[in-house]
Amino acid sequence: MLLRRLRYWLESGKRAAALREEMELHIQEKAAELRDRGFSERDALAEARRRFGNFTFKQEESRDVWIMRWWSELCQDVRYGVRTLSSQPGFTFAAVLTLVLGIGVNAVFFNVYNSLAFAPWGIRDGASAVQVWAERGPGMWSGMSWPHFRYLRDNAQTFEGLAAFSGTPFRVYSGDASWDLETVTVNGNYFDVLGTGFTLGRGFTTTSDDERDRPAEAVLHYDTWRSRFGGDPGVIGRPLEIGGHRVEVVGVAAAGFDGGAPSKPAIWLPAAWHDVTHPGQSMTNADDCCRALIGRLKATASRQQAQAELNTLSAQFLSAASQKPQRILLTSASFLANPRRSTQFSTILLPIAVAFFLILLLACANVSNLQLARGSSRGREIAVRLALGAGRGRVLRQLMVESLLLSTLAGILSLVVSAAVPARIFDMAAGSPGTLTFRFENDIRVYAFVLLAVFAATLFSGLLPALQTVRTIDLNGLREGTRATARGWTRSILLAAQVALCAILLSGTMLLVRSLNNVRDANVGFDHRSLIVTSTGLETSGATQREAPGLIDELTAAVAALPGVETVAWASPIPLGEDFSDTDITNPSTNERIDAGVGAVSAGFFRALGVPLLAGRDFGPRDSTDSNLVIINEAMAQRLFPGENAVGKSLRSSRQLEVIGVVRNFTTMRFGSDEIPFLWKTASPGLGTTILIRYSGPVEPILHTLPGRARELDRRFLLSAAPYSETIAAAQGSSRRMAAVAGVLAGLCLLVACVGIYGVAAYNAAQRTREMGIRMAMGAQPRAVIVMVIRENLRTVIAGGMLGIVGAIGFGQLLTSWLYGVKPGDAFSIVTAMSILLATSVLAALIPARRCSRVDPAITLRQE
Amino acid sequence: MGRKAQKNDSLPGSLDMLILKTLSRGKLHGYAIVQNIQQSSGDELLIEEGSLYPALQRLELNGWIDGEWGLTSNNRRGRIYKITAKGRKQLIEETERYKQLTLAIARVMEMD
Repeated sequence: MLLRRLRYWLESGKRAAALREEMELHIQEKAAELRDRGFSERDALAEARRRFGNFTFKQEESRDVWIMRWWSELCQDVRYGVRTLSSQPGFTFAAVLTLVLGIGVNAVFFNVYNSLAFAPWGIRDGASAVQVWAERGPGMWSGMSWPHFRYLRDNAQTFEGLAAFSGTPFRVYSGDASWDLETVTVNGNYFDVLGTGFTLGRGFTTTSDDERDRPAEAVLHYDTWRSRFGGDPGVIGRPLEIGGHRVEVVGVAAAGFDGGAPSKPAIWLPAAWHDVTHPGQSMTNADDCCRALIGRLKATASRQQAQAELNTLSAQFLSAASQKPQRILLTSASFLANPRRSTQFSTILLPIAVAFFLILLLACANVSNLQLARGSSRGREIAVRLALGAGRGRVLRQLMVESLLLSTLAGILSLVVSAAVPARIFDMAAGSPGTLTFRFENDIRVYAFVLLAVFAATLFSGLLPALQTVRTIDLNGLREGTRATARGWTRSILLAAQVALCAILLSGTMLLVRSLNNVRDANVGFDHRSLIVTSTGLETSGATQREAPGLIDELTAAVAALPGVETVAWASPIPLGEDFSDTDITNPSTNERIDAGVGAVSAGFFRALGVPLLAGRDFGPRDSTDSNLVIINEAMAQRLFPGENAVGKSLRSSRQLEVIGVVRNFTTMRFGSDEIPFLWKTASPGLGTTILIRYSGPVEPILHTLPGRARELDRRFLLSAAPYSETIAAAQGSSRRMAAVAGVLAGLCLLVACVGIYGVAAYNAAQRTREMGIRMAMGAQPRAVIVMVIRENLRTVIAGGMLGIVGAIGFGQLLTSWLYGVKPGDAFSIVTAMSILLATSVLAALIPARRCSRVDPAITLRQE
Repeated sequence: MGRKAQKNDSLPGSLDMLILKTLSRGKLHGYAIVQNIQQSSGDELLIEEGSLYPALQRLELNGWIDGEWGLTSNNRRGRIYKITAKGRKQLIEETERYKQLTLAIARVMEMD
């Protein structure tokens, strides 16, 4: 029945023609019969038609049998709506753009959330995989040690397979090349449990799970194979070197297989390589952390059963290993499934979700205003339709269909946005593209969400104006035009709020832009020209912390011997570098306590930077590396020892410190941090130490010879050397990104507010068309009318702007750490922001105002 | 737009039954069905001819009759309808119901 109906409907055109022919035949035959009975030719046909009844009506009624009427009417409405909307491209553009904003941000957000919370990583049948978590401390859900995992794997009956893995960036040598790759050590049946097959070769065998056995095998990620080995089909059997050991490539995983870590693996090794990639950890230590666990349950086992079983087994194992008990939890395979992460993220995600929903509401409110304005100018058209017999319900539906069309178009565009934007954002946050395994694809859940958002947007943006339009317009509309309705206070308040938000974001952007300008010509307080920054690459090389001082000393000595090099020093961290720690410092004599930045440096650090000592002395080569001697900056000296000589004074931190020197203030952590108290210790260099090189002459030869020279010393060095100006540029880059983000947000907000202002202005103008006509009939100049309309709208804008200024000052305070050389309440920024806002508002109100001024007084008077 | 279906048969649904009955005697096209019904009722039943077509569509959608293009008795192209097996079953059911209904009405009217 349903199928037949569908077929009828699909063949609707053909069927209607057949029906018509059939009915026509009927009339012909009737006429023939009537002619036989003596009717004249003409009368016969007329009589036949008369007896048949209303032809068109009967045709319609017959069609109704197979096509539901509401459906055919809906099709009419859609066609009509498309025509109406395409005849008003300006309105359509503004409305769709606004809705794209509202739906788009939510779609992007949902896509991200979806990918974190639901979408499993690139593994086979991720929906049926479960992650196993152990609670190592209250609320600290993580993986477990190798022996712990092995005990569970060997004894669990509810699992079909259980895989364990653990990843870290590590040095891989191939011939002359060496890279730091995300190296993941996995147990033997990892690929059996999760894998999607191999492009080349094979995976590991289960025998590789024995800690005494370390098969010299590696499997490459498809992307690694493409990017590092040029997709060479002969890569199988290629020798690699990892942590001083040789391994052989045995396979290339199928394209798209990412294993199960948030960081994208580049190469897989058998589990026992964990001891190499994680120096200091051991396969046999039941306390080591952590292998992540993913498994698959037997078809007969439920998740509860499996969890209960693992809890029992885990308790057995931990008590035998005399460890504290750990609860076990089974979750689905996704990033947010970890309970710790989900609580962390829900505190972040929920407010964002609420904010974005408000943006959707705001966008809808603005479109609703636009619709209202349009509805009142369309009054005549609608009145005509009503007069011709259209039901109110039908007109209402027509208007709603138009809204639905707008929202649907916006929804489709939002899907495009949500497919493109999240990956970009995450790549930007991760620093380099393609390092995370999240795939932000529009899956069925995203589609469902956008569909829901489209319906919500249709209701929020369309229902109110449609109802109001249908209600206020009656048949009198034909004669009189529309009567003004009550003043919309809600509208004004909404608009003012938008303007305020805009003002805040705009002035924030201005502040950041000003700060950027200042940063560009910033004086960092040290001489960054002729200075090279070099990272050593030791952290991922497998070298131990104990080896670090020897390696660094060797390197600095070798570098100092290079031609053109004047001074070599090391520091951890370097000024304007990334990580900084701080500590509490107390002056023991006054008990004054301050928060100060801390750095570890070598002798010659200040000389390399060109920062002068104001008092005391620099670290010497003979200062014991773990001594209590510190050098402080001027800012700290003034804070703790005002008016005194700080040299020789003692300080208290976790232990007693002695000040041996004071240096002039210079930029330490970030731009504008010159005045922040800072102290430097001299400790033994760690693996993460950065080398600073002051040189004279051209920089290229040094940059060129440096990496090779270091590798000659020890191949664990993987130097990346660059002029200090690049470090400074990178530090500026973060403020630039911040300014860009604020700028984009402000721009979007301005756009939405513009639509809002335009909508309200247009609505008010349409309401007052007659009044304006009369005014002009009485002699008002068009110019005066324009000014009047704009002035009225500006009242709301200015009220919102005032509110915005207050907010802007507060927002500036939040931005303080990003600002350099600009005060949070910077008048210039606020004034500029307000001017932009005012100018835009005037422009937005100008169009409806001009329309008002073009009202022909004669027509108005005739209508009265 | 406020139009109402006009039912001119005194017993709702009886048109469907009449069409099925007529077709159970042989294949016919639309016009002939009307003629047939009128003749076999001794010209007592007058059908609004236009109403036939919605009814035919309905019957066909239900799968009770089947229409095919063919030639009418006076050699014109027309849709010839025939009753299906499902339609025959339906006819028996409707006849039964109709009998009960008329009997009941007759009782009320004390015509026994």
